[in-house]
Amino acid sequence: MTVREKILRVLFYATLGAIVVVSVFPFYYAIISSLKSGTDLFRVSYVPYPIDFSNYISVLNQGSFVRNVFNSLFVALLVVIISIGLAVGASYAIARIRFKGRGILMMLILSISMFPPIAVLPGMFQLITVLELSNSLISLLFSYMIFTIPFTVWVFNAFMREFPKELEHAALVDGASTATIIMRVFLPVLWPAVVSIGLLTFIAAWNEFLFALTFISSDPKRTAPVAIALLSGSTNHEIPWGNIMAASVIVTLPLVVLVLVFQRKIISGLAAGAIKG
Amino acid sequence: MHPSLPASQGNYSRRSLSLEERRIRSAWLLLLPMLLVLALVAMLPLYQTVFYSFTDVSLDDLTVYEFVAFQNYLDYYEEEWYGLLSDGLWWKAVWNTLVFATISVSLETLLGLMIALFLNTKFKGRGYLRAAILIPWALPTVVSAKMWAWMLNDQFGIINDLFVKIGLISDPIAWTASSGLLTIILVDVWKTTPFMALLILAGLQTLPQDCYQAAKIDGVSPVRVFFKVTLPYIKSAIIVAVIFRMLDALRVFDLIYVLTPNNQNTISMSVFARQYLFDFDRFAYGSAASSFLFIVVCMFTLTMIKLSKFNLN
Amino acid sequence: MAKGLVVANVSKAFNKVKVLEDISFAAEAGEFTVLLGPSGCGKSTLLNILAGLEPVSGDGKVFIKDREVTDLTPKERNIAMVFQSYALYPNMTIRENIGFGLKNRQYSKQDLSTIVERVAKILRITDLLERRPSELSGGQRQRVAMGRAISRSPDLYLFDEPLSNLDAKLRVELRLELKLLHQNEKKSIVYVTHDQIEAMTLADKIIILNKGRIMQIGTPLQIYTAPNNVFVATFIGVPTTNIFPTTIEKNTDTQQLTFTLTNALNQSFTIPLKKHVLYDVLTRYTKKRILLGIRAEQLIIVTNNDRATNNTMNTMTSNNTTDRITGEDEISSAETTFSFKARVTAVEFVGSEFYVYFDIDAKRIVAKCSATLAIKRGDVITLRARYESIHFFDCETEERITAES
Repeated sequence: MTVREKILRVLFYATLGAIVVVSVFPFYYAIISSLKSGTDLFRVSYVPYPIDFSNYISVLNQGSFVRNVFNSLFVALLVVIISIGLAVGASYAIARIRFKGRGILMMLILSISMFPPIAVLPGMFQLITVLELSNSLISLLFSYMIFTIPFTVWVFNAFMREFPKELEHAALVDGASTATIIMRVFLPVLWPAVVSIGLLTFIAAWNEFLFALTFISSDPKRTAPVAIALLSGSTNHEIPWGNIMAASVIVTLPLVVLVLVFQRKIISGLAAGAIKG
Repeated sequence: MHPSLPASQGNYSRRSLSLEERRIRSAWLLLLPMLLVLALVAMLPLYQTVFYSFTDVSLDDLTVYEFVAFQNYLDYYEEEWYGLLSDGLWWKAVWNTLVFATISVSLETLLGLMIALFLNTKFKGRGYLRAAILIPWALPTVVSAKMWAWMLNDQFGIINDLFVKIGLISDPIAWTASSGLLTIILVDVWKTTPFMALLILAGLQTLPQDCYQAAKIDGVSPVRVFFKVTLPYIKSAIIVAVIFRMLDALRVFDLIYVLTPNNQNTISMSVFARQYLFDFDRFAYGSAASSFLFIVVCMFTLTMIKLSKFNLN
Repeated sequence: MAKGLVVANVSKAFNKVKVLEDISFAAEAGEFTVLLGPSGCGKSTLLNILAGLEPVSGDGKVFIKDREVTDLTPKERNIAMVFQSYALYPNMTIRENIGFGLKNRQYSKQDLSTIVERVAKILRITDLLERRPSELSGGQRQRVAMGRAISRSPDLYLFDEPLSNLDAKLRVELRLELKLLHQNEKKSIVYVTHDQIEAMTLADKIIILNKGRIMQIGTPLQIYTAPNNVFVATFIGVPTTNIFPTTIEKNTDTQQLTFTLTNALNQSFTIPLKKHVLYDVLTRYTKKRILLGIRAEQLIIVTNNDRATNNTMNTMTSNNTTDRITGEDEISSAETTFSFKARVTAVEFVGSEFYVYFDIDAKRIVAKCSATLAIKRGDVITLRARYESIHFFDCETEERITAES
């Protein structure tokens, strides 16, 4: 190795190190902060010492934060199940069956995915009032479809189009019905796609803020991100940073675990959605 | 050569549905539930929003309204202009949104491209690095806003502490209060660059390796290879990613709402609309702002489609 | 006798691009029909039409076992198909794969199991039944695919290049197995391939397609010995049939039809068309350009004139060669054969024989010869061929000139 190569190598790893530090540090800092109590919180430090769980105890006992986390889980899981249920059939039709209006349909789905949520918010608010779903988690199931359906259909379509034609032909010759083809031939092969689309949909629904902030008005029914945003102290000037950081870590930890375990699946889902745009 | 046709076996009059016809029928059956849901959750509310923007409806009772034509958008009354188009705060929101979207997406694209190029080389622990940069992307926006608000806290924030220690600044800065938009852009870049990097990386990984081999054998410099081979190849992937990110950035809400609440200096179109809809009890006016944002997004999308088609040809 | 399959006036277009044009043919019940052609000739599309996977574009009709199936679904047609990529369901066991078609047709569990066991026995895959396709070799997978086809005892089997994904050795093995299977079961088969050896070895009847049209229908022997046109002549046979243009003249002295060739030594040979069966027809082509075709193995190398290159011989050589190397005496009569000289430009050794290349009329010509001959580049050789082995094709239509033309 020449000197030049050595320098380049050092620079390369220094940059990589910087990328990792910048990416991970804020989350790490949130964890340290959440483990401090009282006045320790207001002294900057880079290691968690001494460790103190009082912020967690206070967040979990105070108000309805545990409920809020379960609300988020409930809504996100249900949204994932419903969206995938609808999208599998629809994207099979779009990806594998030649019919008139297919192109227009794809354009429609793509343009709906571009709708800014605020543009449908007033109309959605009215709809939810009419259906008497105000302040109910069902209203969120409902409104989240606007971004999960186009996304799931779009990405599924990308995976479905890659499916080998001969396998589908074999199933048709074997006399399989469309439902059988989807359930017994396509889905078993495409389950990795189902997992990555499910994960991405789950993350999107778990993180949603605007609809959850608007349609839910009572604390026990809120989702976790809204609950965090609305955490406040006894006075306006006393922001409970310790509690906020503890709540943030609680809400984020499941996501971080998911990301670390399923990073390949997540990336393949993202890529499939993007490359064919 | 025409072989003699076999005598038709009596009653071939039943014209059953052919495979194609059956498949098309089942296609529409499969699409129907999705189309109904989309009509209900997207088309209907959008229509309703635009409709409300031409009325004087208020939050108290959404069934009582009068038609006011364009008054919410522009109105002239007793020698004064009213309506969205004459509202200074609205134009401030439009300006903020455009500045935020342009700067943050540009930075994200540049940084994302650099990170993607890094990740595209082979080195030990690449998987860990990929997982690490996914973390900011996966966090709820609310959480990342809160984390950064804490780190940027004027009195107890680690950023001020660090910058003072290394002598970058002499006195702590009130980041969110004094340079709000900058802070918002910073947090957005931190959160969304990974997304950009991964999309570009996906494009890079479809690049055929033999091009690189050939360039290497021909002794072409890496910089030239990047501009002559890599960049043209992933151009369309980048354009797609940029369009999607721009659309996302134009609707920015969570970040601003959490990071700089009730701050008119950093107001965005979405924040403006929601304030009027639900906080100021001017539902119709808010609807007009919402509709306007929709039009901006449409116009941007159409322009981009036109431009990128032009570019690709 | 019942027809196994009748295809009448079938055309197919995708977005106005014609893929098949007016295809008509019939196959007897139990016949092994091969659709042969280069890639993109429309053979797979035709197979999909027979399967009911693609609709016919015009008003063509398809009959299977004397029943019109033009508008029926694949399920209703009672056919089975074997694919190039095997197309086994990766998530199902072999047992489930073979039984899938039966299950979709509501066979009872008992019947299904009996049939699967029987089929597995025929194809010797009984001990693979509980495995999954990914655990099987290519050859085993294709056997399973055949098993899936056999299980339903269909009226017609469709094979879409089933052996193309296998390595050379397995391909030969399975080819023979397929032939034996057909001989035992006597089922109607339509088999698509681009491999002429497969077509020749398997087919009762070959249908050659090119650019969406039928080029020739015939037994392997007919196709080989009497190609209908230049396409078939050059598509079938390894190495390819030599085709070169020439002009038929009438010799003013003898009133004989002749044609003239020039070799790379700038020697011209005028070859009379004595007693050719087509003599009468060919008189009509006097003074016209015509295409000659002759197969490589019909050009027999009789001498190696390496040491006699200075011998100038301008007209027909008589058959007085003494140092004959080939032992094929049956073509020695001057009445039925002609010969000429050429200089070898390249020699390819392919194991069992040599391909010897030389130029005639500035066209590259190839001849096959026994591997025992010692021929090198630059040698001057004498070649001999029977008049009857020459095919004549019309220069414009590229159609074979026959006695009825």
